[in-house]
Amino acid sequence: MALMPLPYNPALFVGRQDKIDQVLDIVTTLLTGKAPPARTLIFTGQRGSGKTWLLHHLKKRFEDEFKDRVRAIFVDLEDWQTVTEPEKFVREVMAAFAQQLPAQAGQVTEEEKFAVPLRRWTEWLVQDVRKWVSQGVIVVLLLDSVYETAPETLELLEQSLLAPLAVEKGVLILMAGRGFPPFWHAPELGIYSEELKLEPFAEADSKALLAKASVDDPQRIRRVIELSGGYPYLLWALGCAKPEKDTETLKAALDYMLKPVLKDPETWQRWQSAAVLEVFDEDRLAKLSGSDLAAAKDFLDTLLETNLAWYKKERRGYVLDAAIHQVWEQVIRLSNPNDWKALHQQAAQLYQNWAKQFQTTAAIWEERARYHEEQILKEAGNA
Amino acid sequence: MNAKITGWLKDHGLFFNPFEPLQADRDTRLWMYWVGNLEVFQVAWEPQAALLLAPWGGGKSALRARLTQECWATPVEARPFPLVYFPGGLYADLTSYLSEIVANGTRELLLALARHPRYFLEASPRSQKAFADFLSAVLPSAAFGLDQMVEEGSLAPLNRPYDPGYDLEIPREERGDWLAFALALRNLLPATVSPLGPAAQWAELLFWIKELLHRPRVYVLVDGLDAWPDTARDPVSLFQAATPFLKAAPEWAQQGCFLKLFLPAAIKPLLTPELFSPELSCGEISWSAPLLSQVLQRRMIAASRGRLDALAALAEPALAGLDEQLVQAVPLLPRELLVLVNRILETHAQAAAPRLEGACVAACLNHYYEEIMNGPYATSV
Repeated sequence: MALMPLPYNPALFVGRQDKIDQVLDIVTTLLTGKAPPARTLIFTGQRGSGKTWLLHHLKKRFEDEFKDRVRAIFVDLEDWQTVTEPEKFVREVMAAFAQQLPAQAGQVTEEEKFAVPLRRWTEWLVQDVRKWVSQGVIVVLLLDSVYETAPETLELLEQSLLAPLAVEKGVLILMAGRGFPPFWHAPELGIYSEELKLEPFAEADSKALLAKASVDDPQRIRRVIELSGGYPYLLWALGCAKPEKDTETLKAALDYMLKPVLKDPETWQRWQSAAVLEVFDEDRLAKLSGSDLAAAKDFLDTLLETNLAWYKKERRGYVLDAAIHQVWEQVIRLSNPNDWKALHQQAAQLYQNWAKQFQTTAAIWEERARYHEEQILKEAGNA
Repeated sequence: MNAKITGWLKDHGLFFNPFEPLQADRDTRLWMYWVGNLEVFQVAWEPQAALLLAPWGGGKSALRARLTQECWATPVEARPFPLVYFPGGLYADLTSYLSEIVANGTRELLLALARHPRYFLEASPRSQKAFADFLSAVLPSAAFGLDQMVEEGSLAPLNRPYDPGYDLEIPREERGDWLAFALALRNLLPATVSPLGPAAQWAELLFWIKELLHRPRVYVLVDGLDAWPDTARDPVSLFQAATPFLKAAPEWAQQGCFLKLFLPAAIKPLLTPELFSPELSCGEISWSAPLLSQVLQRRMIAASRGRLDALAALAEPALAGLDEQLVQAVPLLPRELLVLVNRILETHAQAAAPRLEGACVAACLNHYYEEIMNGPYATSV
């Protein structure tokens, strides 16, 4: 069984009403000639939280509600992820943008695409945008997979396309990305932008999505919400699968989410403590996996390089991408319950030892120990 | 020592040492991790004259450097032109300051043209000649600077005297043109030129900034008035030194030029309400523990490209609260925090342990407290 990305389907779209309303309000403000507080919004969230769907849905809402008063241009940077040379990448993106803005820049031929100086192309695009705006049209650029793009490439994209558009009054930029935000030079993209985080669905939206998958049994709904953590992608995958296939579905989801970095199943088996620990570092990974520190550091570096984990100050350690953590721990809990329990017990013991060893920070480690003990008790209670 | 620290940080996933630059205006990466009050930045960014206050060591120069960097962000034609001015002396009237401001501004304009030579090359021959005359009148050494640039094959001769806090590279598409620019301008410089008075020079400078660079407005960023013995600890003298700028601000605003005057917060009692108007605003940088925490956090994020957001990530478990501990240990001043962190890193580098250890941090904190107890905390800048 293999899970694939789900193409946007407006009939299945659920939730995010607050974000949609906020964007539509901004467009309305722009159409009246006024200036909203921010004309760059950035949607962030974990894997499977629905960022791409939201961008597609907003494009459709613009078309439905504003008709020809809004020109919405959707570009997914992931389409050129195999293009490693920054300038080539940027030219492809600008060509994709220009094609959806039928005007001077959109008539650039294939040869010109790579022959015209970048700044000339930028001038054409900006002139075209200004023509639309002068006709009372708001231009909205919806840009997906931004954070996943290489920093050097993004910097050139900022100079050539994003910053020149961001200063134009009739332009709204909506970006989506997962991971670490880039360092923007232009204040319109940095200081004056607004980040909107897409959290997992609350119960009401989870139920609404599951209803579209024809799941109406309250017990099944509770189970799916518990297993998915409210992540839309997981809600849908589990909702469409048979209950007896839950573990298989979660494994397929994990495969899909880890696909860019999955070396071999043994690697993930070896380091499953990362999913159980909730917060970790190389020391903790090494101790719970019975591996040496160097190997644990290598694995941690892999997670960091692929934006699957990062250090969180308030958690006092590294955390996994929340959606991956959700799925991975559930897979371990369902398919290897003894392993799952043993790992929690080892984690609790580790933290109890740390509380004794590091007295000045004992309260932190005692709290961590309690978390793991509670997980075991909760599971025993459920059983 | 720096190499040792950088090497250790690299082992822990940091691509550079984000705590090393203590002077904001020498920090080319400041734009990545600048922390400040957004309201104060807004006052600095808006097209109106402004006083920007901060306690000593409290981010005044960082705000000025950050504002300058923003003014060079793409697309530059939409940004104000930043004319950074450090007074060469303390004068009683504006005319004396004006000569220096014009010389500074003209050098910056020349640098901007050298980095974007098409602005000059696409101007009409008449404009090019007129600009060359102006340049010669204001900067007699321009010919020498251009000759050096041609000889060295780089912008370095022009770039060297400036605010080194931002690294201005020639855009790749324009590298082929800068030599053409330098030679063309050099050939147009007259042997002799009629002198202009400061006021005429100032008006012409503003004209050329708009004419050649197409910038919508000019910001004059005045910093360093408090760097002189007379003004360093005497707010009254400082206020007197600032007065000519305050008097000039309304007229400058009518010329599309806005004063941004960076002063220590100690001058605040002398700023009477009558001084302020809709045309002159004031922003004061203030620090809190959460904001100071961001100084550490953002630097760690920048240096690790998002992987680490706390110094505690480099420390043993006993130091899980290291960042909070350091913020509480210093006065609410970012420079003090950076000084303390640098000392910890230097001490740790000598110990050569894999992670920051409690004993090392404790020793540095004790030493730091002794310095505070025994005298004014003189930070080595």
